[in-house]
Amino acid sequence: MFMPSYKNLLIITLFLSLLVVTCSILFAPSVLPWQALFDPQHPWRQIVMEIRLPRTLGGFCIGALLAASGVLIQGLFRNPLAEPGVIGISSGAALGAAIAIFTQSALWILPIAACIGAFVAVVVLLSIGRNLIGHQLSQFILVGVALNFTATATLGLLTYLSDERIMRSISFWSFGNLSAIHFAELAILVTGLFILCLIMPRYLTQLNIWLIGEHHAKQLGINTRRLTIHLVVLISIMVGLAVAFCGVISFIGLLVPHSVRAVVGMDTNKVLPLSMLLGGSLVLLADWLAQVLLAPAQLPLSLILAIGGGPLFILLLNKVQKRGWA
Amino acid sequence: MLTANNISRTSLGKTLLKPMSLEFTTGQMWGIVGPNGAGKSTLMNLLAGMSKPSSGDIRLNNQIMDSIAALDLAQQRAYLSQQNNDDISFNCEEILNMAAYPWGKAVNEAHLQQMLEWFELEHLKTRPYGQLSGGERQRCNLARSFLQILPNGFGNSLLLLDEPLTGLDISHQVRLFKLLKELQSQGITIIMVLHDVNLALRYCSHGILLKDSKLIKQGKVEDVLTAERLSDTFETELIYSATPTPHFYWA
Repeated sequence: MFMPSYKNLLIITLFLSLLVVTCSILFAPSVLPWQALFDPQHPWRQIVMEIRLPRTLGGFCIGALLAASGVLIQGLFRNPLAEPGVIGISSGAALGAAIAIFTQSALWILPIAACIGAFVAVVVLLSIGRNLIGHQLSQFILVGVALNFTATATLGLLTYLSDERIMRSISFWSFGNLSAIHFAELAILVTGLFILCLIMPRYLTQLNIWLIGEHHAKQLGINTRRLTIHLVVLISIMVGLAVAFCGVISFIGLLVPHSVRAVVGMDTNKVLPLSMLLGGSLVLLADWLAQVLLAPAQLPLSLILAIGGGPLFILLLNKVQKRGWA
Repeated sequence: MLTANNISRTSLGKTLLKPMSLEFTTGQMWGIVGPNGAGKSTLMNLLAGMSKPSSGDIRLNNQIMDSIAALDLAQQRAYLSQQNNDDISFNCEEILNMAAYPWGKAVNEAHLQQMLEWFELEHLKTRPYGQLSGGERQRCNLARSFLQILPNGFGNSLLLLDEPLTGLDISHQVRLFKLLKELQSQGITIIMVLHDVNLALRYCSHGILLKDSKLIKQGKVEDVLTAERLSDTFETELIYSATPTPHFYWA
């Protein structure tokens, strides 16, 4: 079978992503009148600049962050099924963010609170599921699912304690919705993603070796303790940022890395960049569906992704139990 | 090149290894022999610097093991243990390239070709590790261990292999020992855990006999692995025969 080289794949994916971003700005959900392209006074200009641009770019960043966090989480836990939404890391972040909303903190507190929530969730998973890591794949997922329930229920409890205005803002946000992203949010997302992109590459080769076993990694001179701590922090920041402004979106971190791995193999150096591009594009496509399916009503993004993602997760579960990562 | 001074290991109140002193000289090939649970792997872990001795100290090339930076250590010694993650889908070539990690550059192309040839991995290069047979995986892991220390030259390199024959067919067992002999003659020091006493006697220059976490005997292999001592240690009667008896395959 003809298989393009990794470099060509990256170029193709980059091109497709740019196409999706452009289409999302120009056509989603309704087509931009062509006059707006040339007339600086056109009323549509404002719509594009103030609504569509931040929404599109923000959505892309969030998809990229979620897909990347999926790659790192699956690596850290040596479990191809681990996904921030499924094993409760996103819920931890959501709980953190909800507490920030509940206490009516400033906008910049929100992502920090979400990162702390995600951090607590990862640490809990690491300490409880430590002896399950890399061996009992589905048992480990069950620990995560239990954590997910706990965090989600606590979040629910919080909405009962808040007054109506705060409750509405928590529940609107927790459904996963890109319409809350404006320039301030976008600035935080882009800055965060940019810094992460600078930091991440240095860990990818180590993560590859970590994947073949802790013992091998140590033997080859990797400080496994330090690697674990750094990965936990990176994952917390990614999930926290992604969840802070649009709530929990599940399955991106599972579907995207899996599809990419099926094509380029397990090398994290290749899986991560492709996953980020595809994750961003997938969120934009889902967002477009969410806007047009029952227009003028806007469906929650998480609904669209869960309807497609749930059944796929079951298929993957089956496959992974039979054949592992292969 | 490697000395262990009065080392022991206890963990959670259990004695895993009673105090012993060992000295390994450049270019020797050591076989560690002993019944299951005798402490062979514990000793290997200590000698490889993977765990710290509870007492005593280990020196590699005159440096205290604990004080050697992790990457420097990985350039001087390779350790193939029995712990393997089997369900990964890296292909064989990707796994071999991981051997270059301590060196911070790509794996030497000539070395890589040499190892692919020696372990007959050429046709498996692009196959996912998880789909290889047990013996093929072992060959891939062995090749990776060799690639890890080959750039270090021969005189200062240490190779630790825990049951290297696991899964290998006769032809590959013979090939492996030929390669080990070749490397030993170039000056690489080799320490391995072996279950096959005959192979230890035939190929190793020195031997260590362990039982119940205790050192029974160390020294030249023919002095250590005598029929009497082996029979005692394994509580099974063994007979020494200079030539193989009929109906016995001998490679």
